[in-house]
Parts: sequence; structure tokens; C-alpha cells
Amino acid sequence: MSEDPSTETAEETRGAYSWIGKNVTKPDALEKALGATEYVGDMVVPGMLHGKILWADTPHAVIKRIDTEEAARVPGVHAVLTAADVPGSNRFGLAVLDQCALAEERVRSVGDAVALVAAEDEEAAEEAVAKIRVHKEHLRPILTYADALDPDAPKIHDGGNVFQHTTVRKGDLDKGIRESAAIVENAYHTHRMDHVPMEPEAGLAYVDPSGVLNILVGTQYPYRDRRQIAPALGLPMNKVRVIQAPIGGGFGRKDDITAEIHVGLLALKTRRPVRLVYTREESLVANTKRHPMAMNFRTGAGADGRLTFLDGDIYGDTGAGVSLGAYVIKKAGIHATGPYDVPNIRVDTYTLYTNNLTSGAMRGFGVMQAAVAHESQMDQLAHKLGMSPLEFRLKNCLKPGLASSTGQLMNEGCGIEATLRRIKDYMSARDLRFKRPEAAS
Amino acid sequence: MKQRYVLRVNGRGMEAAAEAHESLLDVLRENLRLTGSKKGCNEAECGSCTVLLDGRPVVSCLVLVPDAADRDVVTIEALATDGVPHPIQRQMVEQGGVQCGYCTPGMIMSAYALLLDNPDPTDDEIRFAISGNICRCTGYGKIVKAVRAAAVEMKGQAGNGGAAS
Amino acid sequence: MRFDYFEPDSLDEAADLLREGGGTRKPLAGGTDIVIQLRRRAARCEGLVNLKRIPGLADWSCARGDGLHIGACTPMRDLETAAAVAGGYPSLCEAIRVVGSLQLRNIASVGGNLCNASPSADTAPPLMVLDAMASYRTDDGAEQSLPVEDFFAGPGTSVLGSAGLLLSVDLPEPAPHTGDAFERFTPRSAMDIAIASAAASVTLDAEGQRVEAVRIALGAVAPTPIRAVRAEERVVEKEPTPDLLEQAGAVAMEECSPIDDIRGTAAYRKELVRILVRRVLRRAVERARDGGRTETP
Repeated sequence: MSEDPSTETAEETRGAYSWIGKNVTKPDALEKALGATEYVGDMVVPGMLHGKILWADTPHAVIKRIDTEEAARVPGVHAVLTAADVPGSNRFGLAVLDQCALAEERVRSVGDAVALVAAEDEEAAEEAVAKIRVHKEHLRPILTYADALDPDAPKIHDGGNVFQHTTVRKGDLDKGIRESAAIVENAYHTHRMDHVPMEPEAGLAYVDPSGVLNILVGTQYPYRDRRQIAPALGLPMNKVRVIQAPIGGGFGRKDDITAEIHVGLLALKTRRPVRLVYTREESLVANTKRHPMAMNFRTGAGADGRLTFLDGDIYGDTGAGVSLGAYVIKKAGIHATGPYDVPNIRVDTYTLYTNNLTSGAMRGFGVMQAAVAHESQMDQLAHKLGMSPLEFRLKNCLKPGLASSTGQLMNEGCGIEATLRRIKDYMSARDLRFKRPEAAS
Repeated sequence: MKQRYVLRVNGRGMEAAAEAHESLLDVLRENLRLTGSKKGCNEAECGSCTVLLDGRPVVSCLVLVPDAADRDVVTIEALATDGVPHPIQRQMVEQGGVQCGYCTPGMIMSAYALLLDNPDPTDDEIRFAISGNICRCTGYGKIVKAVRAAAVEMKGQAGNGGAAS
Repeated sequence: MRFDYFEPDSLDEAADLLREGGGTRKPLAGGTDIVIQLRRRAARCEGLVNLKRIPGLADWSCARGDGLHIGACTPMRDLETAAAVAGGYPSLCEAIRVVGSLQLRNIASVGGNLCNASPSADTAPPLMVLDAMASYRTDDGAEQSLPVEDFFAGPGTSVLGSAGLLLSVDLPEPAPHTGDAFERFTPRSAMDIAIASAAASVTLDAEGQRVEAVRIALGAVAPTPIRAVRAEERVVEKEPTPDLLEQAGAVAMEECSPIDDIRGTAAYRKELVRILVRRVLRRAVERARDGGRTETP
């Protein structure tokens, strides 16, 4: 094993803190290694029914009628529910209440739930789901950034398809352009991505003798879940208890409502415990993803190698629901300059509704998409200036005393320069060199 | 129509009433309540359901229960003996190979199968052995380290004195 | 996903069960394709006829002078871990090692991989270049055999009728000074399906200077796995120089007829064929010069 250059710091820290810099075993690791940990999908309660969801399966449509009679006649079926059966607001959403627990008159994404079934076993529930007939009238689906920006396109929600526009402004853009010796301009696209936690979403709900709806779920945020579940189901807050079950991976997606409201509704209606476990396919279709973004960036630097300006637009596809999209996409704009000092900035971000899958929180929260653009721009600028990409970054990185794009003053927590210097030391100790990119035509 | 199947699971004869199209994984989990084997994809992509069938690792989601009848099945629940974790289980904990834990039982069964065949694997052999088990948390490095540490520990236990190097 | 399940003890019984089903029953040799297709409701089938407990059908043997005999239900992992297979038929071993996961290859069979008849079936190109013969039972019970390259009829279909059964695949012992290799391209190194694949078998003269015989096969770039005969013609009876192997790749890319799909575009697949063919030819030539043997994995 080669010597890890981070050892030095780890040694320094080891003495100073009781936990930082030390190996700590996770308190729940052994029961997990033994296979003893019970995730929701492993739990069984006496009298438990099994829930299944009928998904919209079409991106944009008006629901004319739903026939559930045939489904209800499947032996073993206890409930077939549609939006009409939801006792509360039927709405949820982390930022705004723009998602329906069960679709009402509109379907806005293939991942919208349309109906629910509870049955004695999963097969009966599946059979009943297959027998629900949804009469739909298809609408023009809004699937691209251009569709969403088209003022004549159908509105997915009442407020229009541009949910939010944010701006970052700093310095004098024209001055920055005038002072540039090199300018690069490019369009970047990042794709939608699923978190793929190894545990597909699952929930188990029951009403206890005191009338409290208990919901076990692998969630990242039980209290915020409760604030969404109770009004959606028309219950007072103190009649809903969310119990956080072991989470088989979340990575941001289990910040949102997953199975909670559906399994809770089924338990309320059947007065039986109900467990609902997604298949992997359902998990891929439903719930939030990482935002696809389109980023048009123009970046400049002076002959001295100092960045002069960033002029950029970022379009984020949040799908049929905002979830945390407005924050994620705004954050991509705030981080569009990366960890670099840029004196003149114009960045606009647009959070767009589409009929694609809803996007929300995922590790990095918009910063990773921005990094694809700003780091590619940095490499191309360095190349154009004939500088080493490392030296170019060292020259421009944020340091204590400098301010971020939004004016936040850097303090001792700003580690980019130390990181770059460590890379430089590592490379020179091993005589590693940057491969020069082939000359651009 | 349900039929009775006799399975030999973890050294014990067990009966399960199931339909022929049900998977070994579902019967282990639902009928026998051995829920250590996980259902991550139900189509052989993730490895979370790995068990040993006649000594070989298989994805139990694709084994139909009649096909497992009268054969030896070993699940994660059998690895600890008298409450003492297997060295792979202990090393997964100590080396930080466990995070969310959902892939862990399948991962350990793949590693267990490897060490039965090859008590002194190289890192490449360990990586190959667990290449059918997806972990989204760890990045695999600590899992490989745990399997290697377990192999060293087991050689020591076997009295070969293999731990010194 | 309900279906009837049968576990016949003999081939006659298996064939009877399939015939009684009148096309609604399918044989189960491994199950790693059909069970998933049934679960996704992508295949319609009312019954599965498990062949795995029929005596002899899951047996394989490899003896000097006899070549390699693979019973249709032989788990892929049995072949992958056999030194005789890795040494004598390295391209087959290379193809098997990338099928699904190790845990899947303990269930999946070579016969199932062929009968599923996917254009991207990994074992097909090596079996085609290794001159493998498929022995099967027709709908009316006659036993026949034909080269594996003639076994496929189109995507998902083979020469087998609804009551037909693949019995075995038999590979002759490679000629002296023969080497073979398989390579495929996937974005992930494990658990993926080929965007394109290629296999080659090369027999050199005793001096190792001239190609006496060559076979090239391609996967995932046509409705079935195919031979690249014009590329073979370019190479045979010539000295296998890097330039010639490069030319063979260029010829092969014009012989295939790939489609655009989610894994890759037709143009990308053709480009991959050019590169993969060059690489498998080069490695096959190296192995032929090394006496046609490779390291045991």
C-alpha cells in the first residue's frame, strides 16, 4: 500500500478530538452483518394486508373515469381506493403542495399514483390492480426544456411551467468581458439519475387502539413526513406517528414522501395493518431523481490567468413536482463559479415543470451538475491560456478573505487551496504530469 | 395450488407450503421468516438475495422453490455459531464494510462462498467474487478489506499461522 | 405470474409435457431468462418443464481426443471453473465469465443461453468460432445436430419447435497451433449486456507465420449472432500482420447490421466491431503462437 498523504492530518487531529480522526464502529453494524436487522419489507404483523399501487403509466392526461368494481371483486381484496376516497387534502410536497397522493383529474407523470389496493396477499393485490380501468384523455406531454419554456405549451400546474427564476449578479459583466484574453463558451447537459438505494421503498401502517395512525417507514425525516401525511389524510397531527425504520440507503430520495401516505390511507380504510413494498421497477419510476440540467456557460480569463467573468444560464427539469427542486436548481446557480474567485457574474437559473419524473434531493444537491460545467470550463480556459490546469486553479481558487459569488466571506473553512497544493505535492513526489489535451481544431 | 416442499435450510429440514412459481427467496423470507436474505431487485441484478445452494452461491430470487427442494440451502442466519459472529461478519463491522446494511447479508454470503473455495484470495479474486453484489454506500473498498482481514483471521484460527506476513 | 411446473425424469416425458402444452409451455434449463421474462409478463407461458433433473442433461466432459461435451443444462459456472475448459477453449471461458454474476452463472446454463436466442448471447460467438455442434430433439422426437451458427432463426427464436429440446453442445478438440479469444464491450465491467461482442479462432501453420484457418463471429450487431465470413477471407492464408488484422476489423464492420437502441447506436456498434475484431484476432494469434493455451483464471 502506498503512503496516504492524508495520514499526516489524521495524525494531527487524532489527539485533539474524541471521535474525529478515529475509527468508530457503527452501533447497528453487527445486527446488519448478522442479517438480523428488520427493514420494513422484512416486518410482519398479525392480520397484515398487502398494498399495491396502480401507477399512471402515461406522462400527461386527464382522468375521465376510474372503474374499480371488477378489481374490488377479486377474492382477498379489502380495499380499492382512488382520490375520491382520500379524507384529507390529498396533497403533499416538500416545498409546495403540488403533488397528489392519488391523481385527481390530472395525471402529470408516469410516476403518479392513481389507485391503491389492499389485499390478503400480494398476488391478489396485483391481480386487482390489473383489473382497475382508468379512462384517460391524453394531453400533449411537456418533456423537454424547450417544451417547458414554450409560452403556448399546456400548463402542468396553474402557475405555469417556469416555477422559479433566480439570479446571481456580481460586479460588471461587460468590464469582465473587455478584460478577457481568453473566453470559452459551451453547453452542458447532465442526465436524470436514480439513487438506487438497495432497499426499495416500503411502508407498514396500522391504527392503534387509541386511534393513532402509526407508520413505519425507512425515511430520512419522520417529522416532516408527519407534517405532510396528517393534512393529506385529514388527520390532526397528534393522530399520526411516523416511526423511522432502518433505511436501506436513501441518498436524498427518502427525504420525500415515499410509501407513507399510501400505506397510511390503506390502513385507515381497512382498519388492518397494511404493508406496501415497492418492486425495483416501481422504485425506478416513482419518487424523486437527480435533476437533469442544461447549462450554457461563457467564462473568461485575463492574460494573467485570472478569471474575469462567468455568464451563464441553468435550466433544471424538476419534473411534475417541485419537491426540493427549486432549492437544488438555485443552488446549482450559486455554485456555478465553483470554488473560484470570479469578479463579474451573471447567472440565471430556471426551475421548470415537465411531465418527466419528479426530481428532488440527491447527494450534492445541484452542486455536482454545476461542477460538470465549471470544471470543464476551467480545463478549457487553462488549455487556451497555455497554463497547467492545476496552476490555473491555484491562481483562481477561493482563499480566506475572498468572497463567494453571493458575497459570503471565506474563513478558515475554505480548503480548496490546501487540497490543490496536496495534489500538486502528490504529483511532483511521483513525477506525475498532466497529459496535454490534443490540440483543439 | 400450494404444495408442500421439503427444504434443507441451514442444516435443518423445513417444510413450506408454496406454489411452484414462487422463488426460494420468497419462501425463505415469507414462509420460513428468514429475512436476512434481501429482495433488492428480484431479477438477479443486485445480489442481495445470495444464498448457498448445495455449497454454491446463487441468487435465490431466480431459484424456483421446487428446484431447491431436497437440496442444501445456507443463508446468512447460519453463519454465526452460538451467538459468535463469523469472522467475515465481524470484519465487515470492524473495517467499516457495513453502512445501510441492505446489501450486507448477500455480500457476506458471496464472500463466504469464496473463502470456502479459496481461503487465501487476492484482492482481485475478492473483487471478482463480489462483483455480482451491488453496494451503493461503501464504494466496496472497505468490503474488500474486510474479506481480506477475515481470510487472514480464519487462516489463523485454522492453526496455519497464516496471519504473519 | 402463475404457471404449472413439471419435473420430468426423462427426455420422452419432457417432450410429451411440452407437446401436451401445445406451445403454452416452455423448457426450464437454468431459468435466469425465462423466470424474469415471466415476472415482467414479457413472455406468455402456462407451464415450465424443468429439465435439470433429467439424467445426463447437466453433465459435461472434456477429455483429450474427444473435445468438449456440454449437456444443455450444465451450469455455466461449472465450465468457467474447469481448468480444461479455460485451457482448451479460452474464448468460451472469457464469454461465460461476463454473463450476469457468479451467483447467476451457478444457475444459468449454456443451453439456456443459446435457446433464449438473444442476439447478444455471450456464449454464441465463441461457440460459433469453436465449430460447436448443437444436438437437439425435434418436435417429432428425432435427434439431429447442426452447427451452432445455424441454430438461431431470429431474435428470440431458434430452429427448435415448441416441443423441441436442445440436448448438448459439442466442441471438437482444437487443431494444433490454434488460439481463440472473445471480447465484448459494456459500460460496466460486470453485470451488463453487450453493446457488441466478437470472438475469433485462428489456426496458424507450424511456423506460426501464416493463417491456415480462421473463424470470426459477432454478437449484438445483427438479428442473430453472425459469422463475419468476408473478414475471415481477408485474413486466411496470409501473414497476420497488425495491418491485416486492422483491415479484417474494417471488413467486419461492413458485414454486420446493427440497430440503434438504448445500449448504443448502430454507428457506435459498427465502430466497436472494428476494434473488437482486431483485438480478438490479435489475441487469438498470440494464443495460437503460445500453443493455443492460456493461463487458468
